[in-house]
Amino acid sequence: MDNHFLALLRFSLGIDREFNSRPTAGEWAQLYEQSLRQSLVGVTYEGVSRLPEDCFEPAASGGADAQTHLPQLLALQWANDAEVIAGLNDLQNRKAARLTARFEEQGHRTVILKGQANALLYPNPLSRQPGDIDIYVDGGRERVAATLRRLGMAEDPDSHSEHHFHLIPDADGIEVEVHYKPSSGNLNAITNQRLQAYLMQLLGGGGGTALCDAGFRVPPLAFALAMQLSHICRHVMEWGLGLRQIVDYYFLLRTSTDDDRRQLAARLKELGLRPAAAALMWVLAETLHLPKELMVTAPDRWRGRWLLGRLLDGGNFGWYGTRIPSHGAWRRFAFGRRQAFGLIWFCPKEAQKIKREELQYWRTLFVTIPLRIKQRKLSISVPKK
Amino acid sequence: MRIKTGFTLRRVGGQYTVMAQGTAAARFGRVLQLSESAAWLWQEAQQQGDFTVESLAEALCQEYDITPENALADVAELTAQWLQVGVAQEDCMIN
Repeated sequence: MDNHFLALLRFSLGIDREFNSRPTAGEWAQLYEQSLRQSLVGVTYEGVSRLPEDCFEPAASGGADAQTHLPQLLALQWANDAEVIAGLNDLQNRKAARLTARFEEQGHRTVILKGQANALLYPNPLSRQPGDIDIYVDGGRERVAATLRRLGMAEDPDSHSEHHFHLIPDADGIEVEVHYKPSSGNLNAITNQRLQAYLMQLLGGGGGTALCDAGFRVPPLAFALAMQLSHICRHVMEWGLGLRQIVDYYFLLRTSTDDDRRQLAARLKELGLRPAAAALMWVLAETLHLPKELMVTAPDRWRGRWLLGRLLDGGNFGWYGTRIPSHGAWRRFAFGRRQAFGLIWFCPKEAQKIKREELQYWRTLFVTIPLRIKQRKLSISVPKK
Repeated sequence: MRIKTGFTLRRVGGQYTVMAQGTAAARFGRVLQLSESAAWLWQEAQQQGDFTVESLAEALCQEYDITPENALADVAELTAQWLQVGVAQEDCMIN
C-alpha cells in the first residue's frame, strides 16, 4: 500500500509522468485515507484528476467494475476536499498579505515562514493543505509585543513562548503565530545559538525578499533550507513528522541554487544537524526520487529507513502513530527504550534532553536494586522509596 | 432564474459534477452529478446569466435533436432540481 501511495504522490507532484499502479477499490480507499493522515489530500487529488477515465468506476457499471476501479463516490469526495483546501489556501494567502501590510505599516519587516511560503513552490500552490500562519516580525520580543499591544491583536502579549505570540483568532478561524525569532530552533542550546545567528544573518537584518504576487514576503531559500531542516528534526524529536513536511523540503531543494545548498552543507556539522539531514536525504531519494546533485549531504540509509518508518506510521505531526502499549510493563519498557534510543541515534546532538532522561532512568533503576531486593520485587519501573 | 455564484462545473473521472467553490464546498457538503446534456445546459445557463425554462429549452432544441415539448419538460425538471438543491435561484421581484 505504501508503494501505491508513494507512486500516486510522485505522479501527483509531476515527478513521475505516469501512474502505473492499478489499485483495487479497497486500496483506493486506503490511498485516500493515507492522504488524509498525511494532510496530502489536495496534493494527491492533483494526480487523481489527471488519471485516465478508465481508472474510474464507469457510471453505468451498476457496481460491476467497483472492485477494479476508483469508486465514483470516493473520487467526488476527494474532489470536494481538494476544492475546500484550495479555498482555505486562498483565505490564508489573503490573511498573510493583510498581516504583512499591517506589520509593515508599523515599521516592522516581515517574512512568512513555512506553510504559505512553501505552498508557492508547489506545481499547484492551492493544493497544499494549510495549517496555521507563521509570520516572522523583526524588531525583537519587546518591540513586537508593544506593536501587538497597541493593535490589540495578541491573546496576551505578556505571556509568550520562547519564540512567538499567538494572535486573537478572527472570525475566519485561522491561527496565527507571530514569531519574534526566526525559528523555534534547535533543542541543543549551543547549536541553537549558532542556528539563530545564522538565520538572522541570512535574513539580512530582518527583511525577506520582494513581495510575492500573493502580497507577502517569503524568506531566502538558504534560510528556509536551514530553518526547516531544524524544524523537521525538532518535529521528529518532540511530536512526529508527516510526509507533507518531506514534500515541502523536496520543493525547497528543487528550487534552491547550488550556492544555497552549499551554504547549508558547510554548516550542517556546526548546527548539529548532519545525521538528521542524511536521514532526510535518504527519505527524499526513496520516496520522491530526489536526485543526488540536489542533496545537501550523503544519504544515510539506516537512519533514513528508521525515519521513513515513523513517517508512514505517524502521519501528519505523528498524530496517528503507534501509541504506548497500555498493557504489560515489559512491553511499555521495550517501547520506551526503543523510542529513546532511536531518537538519540537519529540526531545525537539534538537528543540531549532524552539522553539525560535515559541516564536518569537507568541510574535510578540500578541505584534502587537494593530496595528491590528488600521489597522482593523485580520491577522495571522505578520503585518509590 | 440564475445560477448562484460560487458554484463550478468540474469533470471528475469522466463525470460532470457541480460543486461549491472554495471553502463553501465544506458548507454545501454535497456535489451534483450531471449527464452530458445537463452539463451542457449548465454552461448555457451560465452563459445566459438570467435565463428562463423557455430560453434554455430553445437552446437545447438547437443543440440536440429533441422536440420542443420534450425539451421544455426536461429543462423544467432539471431547473426545478437545481432550485431544490440550492445551486440556482429565482430572480428577486422588485415592485
